[in-house]
Amino acid sequence: MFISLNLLEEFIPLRKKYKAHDLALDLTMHTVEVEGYQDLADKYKQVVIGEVLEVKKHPQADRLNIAQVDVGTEKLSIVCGANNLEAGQKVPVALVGATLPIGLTITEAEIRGEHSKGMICAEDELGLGDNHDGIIVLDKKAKTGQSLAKHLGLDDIIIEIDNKSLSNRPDLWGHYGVAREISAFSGIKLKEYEKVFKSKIDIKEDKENLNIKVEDNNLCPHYSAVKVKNIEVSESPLWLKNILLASGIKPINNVVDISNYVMIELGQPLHIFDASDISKILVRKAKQGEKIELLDKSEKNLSSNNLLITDGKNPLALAGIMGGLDSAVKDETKDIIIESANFEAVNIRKSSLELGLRTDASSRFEKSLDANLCAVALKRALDLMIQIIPGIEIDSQISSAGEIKEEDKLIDLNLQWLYKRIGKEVGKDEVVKILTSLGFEIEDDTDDNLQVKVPSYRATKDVSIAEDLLEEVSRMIGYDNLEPASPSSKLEVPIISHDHKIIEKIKDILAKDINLTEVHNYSFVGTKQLNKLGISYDNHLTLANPLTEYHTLLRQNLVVNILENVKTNQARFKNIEIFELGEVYLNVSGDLQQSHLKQSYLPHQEKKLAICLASDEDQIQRIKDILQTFVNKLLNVDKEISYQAFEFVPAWASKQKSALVKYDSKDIAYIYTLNKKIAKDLGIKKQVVVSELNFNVLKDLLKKEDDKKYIKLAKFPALERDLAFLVDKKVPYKDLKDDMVSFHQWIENVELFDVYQGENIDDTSKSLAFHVKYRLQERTLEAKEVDEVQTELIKYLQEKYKAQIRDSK
Amino acid sequence: MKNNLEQIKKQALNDLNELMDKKSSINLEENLRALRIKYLGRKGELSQILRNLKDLSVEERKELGALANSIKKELELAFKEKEDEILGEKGGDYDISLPGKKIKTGHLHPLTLIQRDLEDIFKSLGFSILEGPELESDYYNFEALNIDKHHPARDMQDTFYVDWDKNKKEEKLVMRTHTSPVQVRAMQKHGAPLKVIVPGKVFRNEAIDASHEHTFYQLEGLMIGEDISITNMIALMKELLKGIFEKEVPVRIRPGFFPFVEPGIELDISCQLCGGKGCSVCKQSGWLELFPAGMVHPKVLEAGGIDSKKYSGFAFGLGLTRLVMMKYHINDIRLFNSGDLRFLEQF
Repeated sequence: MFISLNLLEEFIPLRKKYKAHDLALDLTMHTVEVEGYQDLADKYKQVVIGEVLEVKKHPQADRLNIAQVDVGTEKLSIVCGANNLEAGQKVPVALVGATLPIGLTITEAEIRGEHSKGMICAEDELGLGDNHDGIIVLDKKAKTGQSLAKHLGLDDIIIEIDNKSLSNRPDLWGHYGVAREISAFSGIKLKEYEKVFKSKIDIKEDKENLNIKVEDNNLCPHYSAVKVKNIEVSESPLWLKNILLASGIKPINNVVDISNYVMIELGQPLHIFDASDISKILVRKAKQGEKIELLDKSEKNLSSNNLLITDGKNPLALAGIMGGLDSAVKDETKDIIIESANFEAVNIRKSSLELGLRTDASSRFEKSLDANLCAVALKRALDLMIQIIPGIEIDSQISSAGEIKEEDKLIDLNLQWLYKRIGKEVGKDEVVKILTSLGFEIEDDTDDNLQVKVPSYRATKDVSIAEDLLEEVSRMIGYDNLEPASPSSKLEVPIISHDHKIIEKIKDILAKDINLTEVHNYSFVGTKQLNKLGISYDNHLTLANPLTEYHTLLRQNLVVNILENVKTNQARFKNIEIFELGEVYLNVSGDLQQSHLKQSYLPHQEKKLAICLASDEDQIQRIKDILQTFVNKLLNVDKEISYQAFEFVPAWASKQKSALVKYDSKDIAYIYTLNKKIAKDLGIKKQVVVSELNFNVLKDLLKKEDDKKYIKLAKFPALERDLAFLVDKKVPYKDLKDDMVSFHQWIENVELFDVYQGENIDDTSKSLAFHVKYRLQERTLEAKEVDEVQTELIKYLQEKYKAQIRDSK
Repeated sequence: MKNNLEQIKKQALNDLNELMDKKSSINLEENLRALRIKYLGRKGELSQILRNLKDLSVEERKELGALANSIKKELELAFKEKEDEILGEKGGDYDISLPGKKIKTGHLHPLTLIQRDLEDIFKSLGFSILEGPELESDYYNFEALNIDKHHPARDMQDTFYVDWDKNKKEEKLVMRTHTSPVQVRAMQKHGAPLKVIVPGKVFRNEAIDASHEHTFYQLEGLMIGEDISITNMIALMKELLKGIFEKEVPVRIRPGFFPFVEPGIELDISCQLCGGKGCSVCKQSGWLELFPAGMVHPKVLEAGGIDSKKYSGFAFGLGLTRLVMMKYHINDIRLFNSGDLRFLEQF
């Protein structure tokens, strides 16, 4: 919202005390956030009013004149091309050094041999309009030498307030409320609002009341209106237009401008109808499907949620939001009805959202306005009309429907409580002073207990409990004026959630031990992406209001997005090794309640960990190395994890090179090799392997392995034998290994160190080479006895697997 | 003969030292070898003496043999030392200016890094670390935080709504718009007193450009106890800033409005880019909005099952994404979710 310092000045004499900068700062520190301020006069620095003393033809140029201009401090000779230039005129003169709003800087010049010091300006050159037909000719009464800004009433400073910081303060949606705040923190006295009225409002006794009926008093607690006749619709005076412009509102005509002026003063929106053909006013809900054509020329289809102002039959205006086109004030309008009403906030808000109409009026009504404003706003409008539009006659009593509830809102405030909450013994006098300066009244004052009456303009919503008064007192003192005080609290070791600890551990191992890079991806995926991967999205949770087609569904795995990361980087990086730890969201009930008040649950959400490798070579072995290292390190064990084929390999992965990963008997992860065709469809040029790990299983395993005890160091040495043999290539490593380990109790460990398929070996076979480690806890084994067992082992492998021994030593 | 042996030893050590003192000698290695042969070689002086031992009596042989051997060992040690010394100076043709090869390292996401920095600070101040769901109910995200259905405050945050269980006509869920819902969940689970932080991902329905993201990270803080005051809150904020910036940063605290706190405040810090003089980043004000905070609204305490007569507390929300951007002068918020290794490998 824009605040004009000139308008504030009407209510509180600021200018003497405050520079704009300091005022902006004080407002920010005590009341609302000021986003910035602008001095309008800066636009017209060094543009002054000059009197044309004499005009002569330029001796060298037919179209140019030379004018002698008095600018107060001196007389200037200025070359000018305008054809409406005459002696005796008052004109705007840009002095040497001035920079005009169009960016032109005035310098001393010689134009065809004649000296020129300054420029006489046209409308467009000053950014005041589009006219370039001639120079601006000002009023004869304009003061020679005065700054143009001052003359035009543009010597104003505009303060811009962040609307968000006003959302709980209906009273600050008008200048008077802002002036009241300034008065409270600065101590400068605020004028009573009605004291600024200049006219005597006379309503003849014989004038009748308007016929007003309100059907739903909840939606329209109060409605008042007055009829005025003999209106002459025309342009508003400059001062009025300037204030509106400063506040960001476009002037239209004197009638409409007055209603807007009252709104920016008081925060109370008014509406003005053309009164011809209106004999009564009925405020009712719209009928389903009823239509209204609005001032902005849009036609709206209404529902029974919307509130209408009607003439008993036809809609005149959409209550609190926008007037109807038919009843609008036109150039020829003579009689008007001024409406000043109070509408219920939620209904206005709903209607305005539903119809997509946000107006200056609706954004005020939806903050819950004080119904007491209706009457005073109406009076102010009449006051201004009498001032500005000569010959008008008030043609009805000020009429209203709906009693304004006169109930006092009282809050009990215990001062000891207040001091404790602030953390400072503020003192009763100070508290009372602050509250009364803001319009609160102290109804009862017994020792430490105050009974505080909330002023009506703060009582609609904003202030209702003692904590609200706590805010009033502390912000007026100023938070920066409070001495910080360390809280005293019990010594306690903080709880760190189990999940949190594990997340940190996982990230550290992956980034610091295994040297992967952590990525973050969006929680959303799109149908196109899933289509390409052949993933069905029927069962995904969907965003009701997505921003783009790429983010419409909630992800159920991390794979989809991490594959995109490969694409992002493949052109610049030979090897891509990344991981992500993040949430997935499934379309089944989880175990977190939606609220403690009802038995419904949020969808199941869990963490997943994805590791993705991409390179020009196959990465299947590398991912296994990584998983093995990761699991050993995370669980602090030295145990081999195992891989097995599984049934439901997703369409985008290669069947042969995807596996279920097990630790003990637990499924801890899957690994998938990206299918080459899909890779092509996705635009991925590298070979990609992704593993997705189940965070919760890892968490459970980690709990179990937490009981780990150290293993005593062996007293006696082990003997190692190497064994290499050929077997059918279909025999899985895992079977061989398990058999070898369980073959004899001396065999402590069997470790594969080479696998070979290819040249020098027939097609159906592969060569495997193992270290076999023998050990006894009780004594040192002798070479001879180990050799005997090794021979038995070989025999066993030959029989069971038809192994052809290549080497044994 | 005994004297002879001592003489040889003395002479040998002398020669050795003399040789080494003349370091400039080009043939240092060669001369050293010659010297070694002279004293310790097969035909060297020491060997000759040892050879003559056989002519002596058993007793003398024993005594002098032991002496000769010990001298031999001593000299060998001395020669070895000098040889090592010469060797240590060698390596002549190695180009010391050659670069080291980069060992591949992993990288944590900058948001993880800043999150950890903050967690360390809070842990040291005795705060617990909790988590909460990213897909949240309307109740926890709004209602329980005193933001009712038609509260204008809902304008402040554009929310992603999620359809769920349409058949049951269940209310829409939301991608949490802030980490604040965990305040109420934490109160319900742990009661008062309470000192927790909740880092996490949050969502706003906002079109993405260099300075807007629909997905970013926050850190929520909550402290509840008996008679927790505004001045306590200010003390914690200031301590926290010292921790974050590792120096005193000028701050100002001004009123702010958030439905779940009363009173609410905004904490600004002196713009780190222009030093408070005013620049485009701070919109010429010299101040940067760092985080909102406030005293927990009694309605929120009550939603959390905490007696608002007995307990009070404060809450605050830090924008982690914003802090990282400030710390590293990152000017494009989209980089965080880009997966671009050129960016990620810088951290």
